[in-house]
Amino acid sequence: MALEISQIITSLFFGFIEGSLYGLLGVGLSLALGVMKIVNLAHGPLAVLGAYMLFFLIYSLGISVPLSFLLSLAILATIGLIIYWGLINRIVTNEPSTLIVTYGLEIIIGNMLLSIFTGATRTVDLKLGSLNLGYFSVGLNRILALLIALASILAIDFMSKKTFFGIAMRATADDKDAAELMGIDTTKVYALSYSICALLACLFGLCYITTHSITPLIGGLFTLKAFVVAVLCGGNLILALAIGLLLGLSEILLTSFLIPSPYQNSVAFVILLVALTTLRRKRR
Amino acid sequence: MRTTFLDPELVTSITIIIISALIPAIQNTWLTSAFLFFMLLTIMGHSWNLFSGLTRIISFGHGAFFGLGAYATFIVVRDLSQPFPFSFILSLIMASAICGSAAFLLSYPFLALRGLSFAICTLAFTEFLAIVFANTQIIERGHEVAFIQPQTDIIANYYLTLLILFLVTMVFWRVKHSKLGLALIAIGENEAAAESLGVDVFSSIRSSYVISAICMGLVGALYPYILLSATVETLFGIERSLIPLVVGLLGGPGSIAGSFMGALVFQILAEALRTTLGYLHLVVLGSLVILIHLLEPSGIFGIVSKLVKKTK
Amino acid sequence: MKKKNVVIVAVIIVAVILCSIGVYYLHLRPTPMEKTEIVLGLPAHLTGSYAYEGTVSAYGTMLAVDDINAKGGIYVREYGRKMPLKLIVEDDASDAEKTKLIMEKLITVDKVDFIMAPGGSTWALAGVPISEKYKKICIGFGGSDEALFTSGYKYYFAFCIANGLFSGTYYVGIIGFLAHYKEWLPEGAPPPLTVAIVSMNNAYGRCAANIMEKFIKEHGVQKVVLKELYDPKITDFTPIITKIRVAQPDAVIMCGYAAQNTNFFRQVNEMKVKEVKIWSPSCWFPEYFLALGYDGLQYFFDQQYWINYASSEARDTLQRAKAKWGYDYTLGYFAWGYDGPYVLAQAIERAGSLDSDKVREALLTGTYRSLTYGDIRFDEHGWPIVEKFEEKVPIRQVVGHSQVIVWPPHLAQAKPVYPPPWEKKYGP
Repeated sequence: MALEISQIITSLFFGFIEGSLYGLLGVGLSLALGVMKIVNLAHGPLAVLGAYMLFFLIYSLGISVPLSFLLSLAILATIGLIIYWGLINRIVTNEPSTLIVTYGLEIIIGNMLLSIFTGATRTVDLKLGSLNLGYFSVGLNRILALLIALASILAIDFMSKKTFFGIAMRATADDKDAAELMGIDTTKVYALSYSICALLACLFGLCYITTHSITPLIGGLFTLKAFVVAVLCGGNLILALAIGLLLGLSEILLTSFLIPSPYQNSVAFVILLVALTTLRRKRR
Repeated sequence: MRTTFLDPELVTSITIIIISALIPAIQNTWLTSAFLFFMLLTIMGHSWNLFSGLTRIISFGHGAFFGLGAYATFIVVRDLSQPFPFSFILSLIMASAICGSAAFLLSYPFLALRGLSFAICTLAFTEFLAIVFANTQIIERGHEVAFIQPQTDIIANYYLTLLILFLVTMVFWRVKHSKLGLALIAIGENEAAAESLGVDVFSSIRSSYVISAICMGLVGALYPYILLSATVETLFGIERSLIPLVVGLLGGPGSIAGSFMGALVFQILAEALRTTLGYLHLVVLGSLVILIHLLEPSGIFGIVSKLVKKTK
Repeated sequence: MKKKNVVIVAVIIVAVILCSIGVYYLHLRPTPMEKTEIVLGLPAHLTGSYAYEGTVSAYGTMLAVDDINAKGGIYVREYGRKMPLKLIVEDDASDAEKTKLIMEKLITVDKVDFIMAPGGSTWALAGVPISEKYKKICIGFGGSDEALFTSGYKYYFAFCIANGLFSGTYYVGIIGFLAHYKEWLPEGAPPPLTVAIVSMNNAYGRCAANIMEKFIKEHGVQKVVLKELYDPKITDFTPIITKIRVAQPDAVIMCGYAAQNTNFFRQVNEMKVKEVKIWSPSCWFPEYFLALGYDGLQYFFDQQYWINYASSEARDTLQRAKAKWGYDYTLGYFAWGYDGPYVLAQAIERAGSLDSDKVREALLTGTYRSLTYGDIRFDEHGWPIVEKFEEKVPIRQVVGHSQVIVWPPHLAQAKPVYPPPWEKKYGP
């Protein structure tokens, strides 16, 4: 009986952490969807790019870990800006166009990473040690990832509600023309928003590579999972976290105790299908 | 609404079909194979364009119908062990039946949604089907790959595909120039306005979705005869849904000749790039896709049309 | 649109198509008057999802061709002279459709004499029907799926499996090690009597799991207490590890590709699972050491299916690879890729001809030296037969900062550290 409880606690704990990462993943995409109304198929690949950036900075250039983190974030944010000004800016009003362009980006980023880093799985070992919690121990890198994820989501939520830029973002999201009439430079809002999306994607990539391992072409899977969260949360970032947690917890709990392990990934899609078809809230 | 046979889209399409018919005469199996895949891709582009190109309701999940069509062929060839040519006809019929009814049933919950919700729904459905097929092993039956023995040779495959391409092209053309097509284009431009003018929105898009699904199912049914092997990843993978989308959009959304254009880039040009560029060919392809699209959002056919207009 | 413009549009389209076709014709080679070289084709995965395995294997093939050419080539009795090898490499971007295109191109346009087998079952299944159609010998890495060997393919020979074990090839070594525990168990240590099998839920994984179970039953020493199949796409193994902690097996054999293994063992370390004494993936990948470090992999076991890797010939070959490309790893893919040209060359010399049927006859009737397995002969299905394979697979354990071979006895460098002192690794 004691072991049963420890099983549940272990699953809850790890599920919570996985879920918070999913939430972070979804928040970034939700921002792009909500503010710019674009389907950013490059979201996952940008996360992978950020992860490889960290790997490169730490292992190939020998830069210290905290500095590598900051540099990766800065570089990805800049790349986000460049992508925006170079590409997205021209087609932001046309939904199908963003699909093609971001799909092209997905191919480019994935294959460039593949030719530079080869297909070997990579990971970053922070060597932080672990925390013993009685029935099980958890790596401190996982705790760090959890903290980063939660802090990021809360920070973005705070920013969108309490700062001027956040309000400008939401105004542009609600009604672009009205926002412009109110004097908001919507192009700047879009540019910065995309940059923040890239930043959030990068944060997920950093959390992921320090707790799991990656290959260059895994971006598509990330984008898919991000969609599940982003679509269901409807712009509410705290709800995004909740849905991410639900996803992470249900995946682990259900596979531990109910459905056989191979179906672990289908949980996300079943939730999505059921929610989208029954909730019937008119979205964009 | 011009339905004369001098419609530029139709002329372009028929020209390409005639050229394709002559390719095997060059006696180069590599070229023939490349064109074979080009034709398959065009049919996929047509089926996506039929629905999403005209109505502007973007579907991310056409791969589901492709996979179901391929499944139909596997049933016919493996379980029912029918001999060739009968098996081929049977698989086409079965694929149409399965995909048509699936689309019909799905249209009730899905087609009430629009925009991103619809797209994600189709995507989630395809992914879910993929997981179910992968785990129940209906197609692969315990092997890493599902396979069938060759039923036909490459020339037979080529002309069968050409035939299907011709049929689907004509279907697309007829739909586009019919009352249904008019309704779909109207819905694509402004759904509310179309509805207010008396268009039965749901019935129109459902018809289009079903026809589109059947076309995709036909390609799916062709696939095992040509490739002889398939995995759940190749049948239901997201590439299978995204590439027809890119082909359709790149070539020209809603345009019949557009699918040909897009498939030309993605198959013929891609192969030429691969053999000449080596390592980074995919990066170049991705960049080309972006460039072409930024240059002219209405697709390659749009570029060509504009060029021609300038020469007037 | 006026009729004239319609015609212009059609002309533009035709021009573009003809240009594209023209590119294809740039690649047509004229048939030389006199045959002076043996042409080999290699459909490789240099990009795409299988790029890592594909590139490593391609290195092996390229090195073998270089080694053979360094000796002047292969002596072909039919032509009365030594002929060098010419290798044509094409990238299929890990797309089975492109594999088919490439096979057609290599055989009909580049006119290769022999073709290297595409690596991986998906691609082999796509490509082999084509080489069979043209009656070209298809030899090399190949795929492990049963279908490749039971479909009556005459010209297909693959090194990636041995003795008809399919994907079980990579896991039977550890079974042999466990079954013979009496020969390596230290004094007073509890014997490993229970085993858990964790495998992927795809054909590869299920086949491996079934063969493992079969071998365990046949030896009759250990008992399988847990058999778990997981979706290859998952990244979190908490549910499975929890089940392991409940079942408390002495040994856990993990079947998965590099990514799954990395994640799995990372979580095992994280969760400090002390109940299990023997942890084993199929084979060490270099990235495990980068990811988990020697500390993380401390006391874990592995089985090296490149069973000949410790020999001097293997060491020399790897040194040459390192000199050429900086490639330094004892991965099976490299050896399988190397054996394609290497064994083929021996067969051509034996047959004295480049004719496919004669070379096939030679392959099926001779014994050959392979880099992967040492001395082999071929089964008519197309796989190599290695005598007493299970007893030749080196089992290694990570102790300190090295991998120590602990089995079989004639290769062993030391006895295994058993049971592993987990307190030393994980703390109290």
